[in-house]
Amino acid sequence: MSCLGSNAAWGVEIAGLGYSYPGAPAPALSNISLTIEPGEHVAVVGPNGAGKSTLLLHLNGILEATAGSLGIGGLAVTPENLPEVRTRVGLVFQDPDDQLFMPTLLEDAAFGPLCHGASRDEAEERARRALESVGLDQVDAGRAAHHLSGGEKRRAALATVLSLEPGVLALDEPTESLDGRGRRQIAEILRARSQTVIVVTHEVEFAAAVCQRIVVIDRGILVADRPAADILSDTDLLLEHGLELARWLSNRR
Amino acid sequence: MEGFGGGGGRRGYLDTVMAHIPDGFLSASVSAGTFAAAGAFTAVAARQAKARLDDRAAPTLGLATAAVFAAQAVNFPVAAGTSGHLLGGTLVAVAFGPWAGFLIMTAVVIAQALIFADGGLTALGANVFNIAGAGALLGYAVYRLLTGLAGEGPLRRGLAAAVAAYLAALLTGVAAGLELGLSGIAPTRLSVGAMASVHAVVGLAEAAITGLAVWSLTRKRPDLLFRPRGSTVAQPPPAVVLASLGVVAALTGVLAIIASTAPDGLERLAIDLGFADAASSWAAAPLAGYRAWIPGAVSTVVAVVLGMALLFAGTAATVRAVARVRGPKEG
Amino acid sequence: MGFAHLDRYADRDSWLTSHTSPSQRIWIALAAAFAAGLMPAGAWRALAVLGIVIALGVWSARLPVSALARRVGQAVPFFLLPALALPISVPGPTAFEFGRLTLSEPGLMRAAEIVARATLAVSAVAVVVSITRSTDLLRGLDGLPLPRLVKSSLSLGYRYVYLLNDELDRTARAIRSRMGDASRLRLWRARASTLAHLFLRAHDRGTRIHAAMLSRGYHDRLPTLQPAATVSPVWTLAIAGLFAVIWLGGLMEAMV
Repeated sequence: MSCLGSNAAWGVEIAGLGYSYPGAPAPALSNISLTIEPGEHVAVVGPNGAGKSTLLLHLNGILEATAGSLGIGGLAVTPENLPEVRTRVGLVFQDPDDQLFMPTLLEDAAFGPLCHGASRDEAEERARRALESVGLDQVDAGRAAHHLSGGEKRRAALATVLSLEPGVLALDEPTESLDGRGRRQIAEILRARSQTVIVVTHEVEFAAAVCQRIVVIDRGILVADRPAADILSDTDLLLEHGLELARWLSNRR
Repeated sequence: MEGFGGGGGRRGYLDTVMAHIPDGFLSASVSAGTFAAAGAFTAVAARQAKARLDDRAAPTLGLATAAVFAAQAVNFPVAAGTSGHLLGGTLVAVAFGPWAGFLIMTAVVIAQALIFADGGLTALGANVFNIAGAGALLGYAVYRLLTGLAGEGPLRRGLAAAVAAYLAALLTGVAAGLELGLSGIAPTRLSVGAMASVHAVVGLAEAAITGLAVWSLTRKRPDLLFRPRGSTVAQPPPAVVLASLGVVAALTGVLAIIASTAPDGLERLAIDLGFADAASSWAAAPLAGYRAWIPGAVSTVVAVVLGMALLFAGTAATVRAVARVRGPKEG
Repeated sequence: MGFAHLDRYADRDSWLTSHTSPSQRIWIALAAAFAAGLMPAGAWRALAVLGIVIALGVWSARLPVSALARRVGQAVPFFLLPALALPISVPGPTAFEFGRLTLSEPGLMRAAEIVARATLAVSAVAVVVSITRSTDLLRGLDGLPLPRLVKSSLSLGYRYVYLLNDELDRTARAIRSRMGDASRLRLWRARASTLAHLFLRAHDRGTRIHAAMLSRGYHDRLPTLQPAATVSPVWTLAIAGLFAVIWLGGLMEAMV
């Protein structure tokens, strides 16, 4: 039996996290502290370039913090813990085409388990289960990513991570360029997860639909961390940090 | 505007037709010899690229291969209403390094023969050798020599890449002509001459595009271009660079002369060095009845391997010598 | 650039698809292509036998002849053009004369042989490629003695060429609409800049894919799932053996 996760939710502890890209004048993240309980659904919102995606890349050690520390369920994110950390945190990237690099969806979904040492049978079984859980069937499993619609690609990208049954699910802009139906499908899938879910997005309404709690980040600094409903009604806060609600299109201004 | 990006004609003929040797042209022994040589190079290239790129190797090379596929679908006017497309060996070698470039072009050549079914499986070894070997390895060697001489600004790099791409295209032609000649398709003098002169024209487009693309790349993102390990901007003295360029040029010349007298020239060399006898007596043993026929075929195989090895060993030695001269200056 | 046509006949069941696996079919294609492509000069009878066997293959694959012809037709210029140069350039007794143009007998003979060999070799590969899904074809490459990096490059290259090609089209269109009728020099510069863009995008995407691989536990190699159904290799060995025998026959024929 491999050392893969089994959907048990993990908490996330971030303390004083800072990061600067090599050669960049200003830090991308500074002094971010955030504690997320196991099973909690949290959205990280902010304008473009605020540092949201940079934060996500720290969760499983793709980027190494230049200050502060991170822990996943009490396990520090350090180079020697990376294999274990990467079974605990599933990262879904912004562009599903970056996530679907194998010839077929089944192989994409089996990639994670195989890399973590699962047997071929176990990997395939996990891959099929993951694809099913996002509404992709047997026939879809044999398809190549370039034959999929945008919504299908998003869901498939999610499945490639769900097959690892990670305790923390982290997604970068999962609704970008999706239509209303695609958005709803993603929201439904995410709401149903028992794991800890962290969603990076610039769409506040989607964030509120999936998460109880919203964290606002702007220019690398954590500026608010409150219940979703609270943030949604704080017009001044939203405006100050360049965040817009879709309904303002018809109501305001 | 002809074939600028997309939709239109899938292939430009002149280039493709000339650079890729199709099925049916090579004799069994030339095919075997080039397969052996290409196989050895591919194995070395895989080890080198892996050592250099580590776990980034697979995604980097994969996406570069996709980029070459896409680039080859763009047709450029060459001359007299014909169009060609980029071969790209020198370009990918400059961008991703010589060994990575070799593997990328190998994948491209294999895809063409097998996945897109354009034929050329029996000439796969030769095509890998001519296109990936001459394009990426020799092209890169010349490029490095020239940037060592001229420096590394966008314009200088672009010019160096253009010259390198031109020479590489020419050598691709010479090598192809040589292989056709050794296969007995046409007298070698004729086939080498024909292939070289076609590539002298096709190479102009290759050089222009490669040079401009490298110029453009260097201006946009100089950090992305391949940097030899441990190299800094320290440059070897011009005399050393000129001398080594001379060696490469002389080598090419010698090979061209040998080629124009081949098959006799190369086979003579193989026989003189004693390879052919040893090889043929070993190979002939189980087929004693055909003893008279086998030595000829075997010596052709040996000749091909030997000629290719000579060309590459010489170039590699030259580049290494330059690197050594460069080395102490940094220390 | 459309690659969709590549899988058009891939889902038909036929004798060939049910008796061989995709990777076995690649070996059959290789055997046939080598037997045809390396047939020695003068082995016309062996070439004819080979042609009959390959035609049987087309029939057993239930591949429409028109589809095969289209596929082979696309590869014809690759060998036809250079072959046509031979009757003019190879020295020997003159067979025909058209004004200043003389066609030599050995040149014509060689050209005919080359066209026959190449047509058969390309047909054999075209049959196998046409009846095999491209994803299966890529998986079938796993069995070939190639470095892992070449195999992964083929697989990733095939996966992402669609995407890069769309990006290339967009860049080209944007540049074209900006340029109007530009001078030749600017045209070439624009072409080069488009290509530079293409390679930059490929590089950046490669970096992102690498991150996506790493975050799923990738460390060294791309793992693969074994194909579900295993097919007995008996038929593959028999067919490949047949091609080898025909080639040896050709060798004898040429030497006599």
